[in-house]
Amino acid sequence: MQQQAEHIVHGYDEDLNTLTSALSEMGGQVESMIDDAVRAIKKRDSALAEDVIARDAIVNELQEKIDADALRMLALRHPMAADLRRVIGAMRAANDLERIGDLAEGIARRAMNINKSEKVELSRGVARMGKLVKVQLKSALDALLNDNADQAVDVWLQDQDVDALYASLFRELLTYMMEDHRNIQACTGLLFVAKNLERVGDHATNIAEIVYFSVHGRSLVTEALARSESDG
Amino acid sequence: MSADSEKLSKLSGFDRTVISILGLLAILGLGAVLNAPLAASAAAAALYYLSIQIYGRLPRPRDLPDPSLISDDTTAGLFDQRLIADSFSEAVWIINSREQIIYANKAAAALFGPTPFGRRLATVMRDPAITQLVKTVLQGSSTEPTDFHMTGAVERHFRVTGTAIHVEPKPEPVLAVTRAAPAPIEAKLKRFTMLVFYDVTDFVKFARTQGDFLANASHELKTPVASLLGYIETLRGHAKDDAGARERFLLIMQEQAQRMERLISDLLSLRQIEQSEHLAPSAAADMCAAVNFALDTVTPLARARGVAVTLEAPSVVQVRGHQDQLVQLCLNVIDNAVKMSPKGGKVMLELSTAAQWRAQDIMGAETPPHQSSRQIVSPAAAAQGYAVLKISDEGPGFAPNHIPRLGERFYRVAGDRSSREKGTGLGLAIVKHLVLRHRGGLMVTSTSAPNYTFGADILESHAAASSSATFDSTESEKRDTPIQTGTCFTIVIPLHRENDGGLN
Repeated sequence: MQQQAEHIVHGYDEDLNTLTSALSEMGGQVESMIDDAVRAIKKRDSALAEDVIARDAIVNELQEKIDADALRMLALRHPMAADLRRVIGAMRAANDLERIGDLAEGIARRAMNINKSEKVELSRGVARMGKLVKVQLKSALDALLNDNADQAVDVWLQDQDVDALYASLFRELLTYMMEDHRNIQACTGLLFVAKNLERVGDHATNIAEIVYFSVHGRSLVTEALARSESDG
Repeated sequence: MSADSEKLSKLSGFDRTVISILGLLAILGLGAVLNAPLAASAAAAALYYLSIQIYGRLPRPRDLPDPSLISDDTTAGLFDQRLIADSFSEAVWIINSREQIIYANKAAAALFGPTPFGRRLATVMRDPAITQLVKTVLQGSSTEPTDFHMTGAVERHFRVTGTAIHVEPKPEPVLAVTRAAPAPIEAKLKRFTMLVFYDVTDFVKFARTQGDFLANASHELKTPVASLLGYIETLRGHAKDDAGARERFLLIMQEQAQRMERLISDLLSLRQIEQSEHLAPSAAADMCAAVNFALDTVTPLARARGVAVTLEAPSVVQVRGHQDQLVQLCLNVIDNAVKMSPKGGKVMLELSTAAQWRAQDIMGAETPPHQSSRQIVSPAAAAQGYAVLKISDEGPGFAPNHIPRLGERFYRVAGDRSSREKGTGLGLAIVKHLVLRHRGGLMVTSTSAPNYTFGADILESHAAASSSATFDSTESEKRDTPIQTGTCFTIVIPLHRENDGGLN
């Protein structure tokens, strides 16, 4: 969504660029929320978790702004073709980002709970998953802001890594719970966190699909299915 | 600049700066109708002044050396402000009042890639702290520096300072010359923010790895030390006079001590690699020589285990890398492959080059059953192409549930009792970090026997218990046909090219 737009009406360009700016700002905010939420678990930092919870309001506000801007553009400028996909893409991506913000808030709330119990080393797997998801989210946002469809496909393919890690983490936490029932409370919390992270990965995948559609005007999922059918 | 310097020598430093800025504006931006070159040149001049104020390494304007020295062409070139800004090792960006990037020095271009001039900062740098910093500085308040870290395969940490630059639009001479430029935009361009990114990765990394190293070392050494103590106690106690037991115990103790030694040396080299990870090597190294050297080292072990190792490679493959580290990299993967192989197995090494690398090529949507693959490290984009090294073995392969955790330090595949040599669990972690440092990529594809998984175990025991045709015959046939198991690691390293400035 990033090339400096060039239209005859200067205001049109301004509108498109403002939309991109807001989307980028929202992406940055969400990225740092996920980052901080995971860190709050890793470092047992409840103050940081509270900070994350407070920042969800900013993200919600930004989504409303993007929605309003996009609606205004649709009404006033009647965008066509690539511009239309771009505006619709911005609305959809903002929706996914808002959900990611909510998930980050959820993780922060869990973090405050988990931090009340004793165990620390149990959270290592979750921290690792957080790192992987963060990289996924970053690549998805980079692809979104640079209109990079190839990078989007990479993100889309690597979602299976997140899913696999989630499955492996699930098993690991289950083992801890079977080992010692005093772990159950903390581990259940961590399971929810892992689930939230896995959903963040799914939303990153959604954003990748949006990018692909915005660039090519075709659906990534349909094309991948068609390709795998013709291959095998 | 040199022509002006004599006339300027009587003025105060600040006045002189303003005048030199105006002079520069006049020289560089004269006929320009667009505002971008104007703004860029003004900012560059301001940067020059500020950098001298901040760094103090270069003579201040009032201490300008003898004019005869400056009139010398090469010396005069030194005072070109762009050249000076480019020679900073810190990345510098200048942001105008509309939050667009209007200037980036060389270090910034190397760090963030080609600079998107004119784009709003928020769309380039998503970090909310930096956006906020720029906003605050543009409003005229001063701020504390903020911390910024680049996530990605290799993490980097920066301390970012924002400094306000005010360029006063001096009325008379400039307005006369640049009347063509639209006045309102000119008025808006008065305030700039200079962002300087100080790389503090070294400090952050050092503090972190120091802690990690101590934690890992003490945790991993605890078990062998405890076992050594146990044997020593037994030897001093009731096994005192038993020659047979003593011999056996001493052998075990030696093995434990050797394991501790391996562990320590692995930990040390891992820490060393980690600390230089954020600095990509820039020299040329021969991948082919590295593979051959590693192969020679592993050959005795392979012969002893009855494993055949074959190599297919061109004579020379120049990559951007560190020769010794490439040898270490190859040694670790080949050694690993040999140890995974059964007696009489084959290990195949293939070295080739590829113009580009995409994850899609190896990780298709459709994979054969029991095969799983993963991109452990994705390579950095390299226009010059990659060297591709494939190492395949015929070992038992990794079950899908182990794949996501490969490369994690101290992760050993549970139940892997086939190998007599107990690894340290650091081999693949070292490989991963070496690849990261070389900005390369690491992929794994593994086919494992189906009954290797937890689920299949239960199925099988069920089938045995019911011992009847509850499962249809095709199912069991499928399980009976032997599957060629094995693991293939693919390592890609960016090639070396002449005049290669080196990436970061």
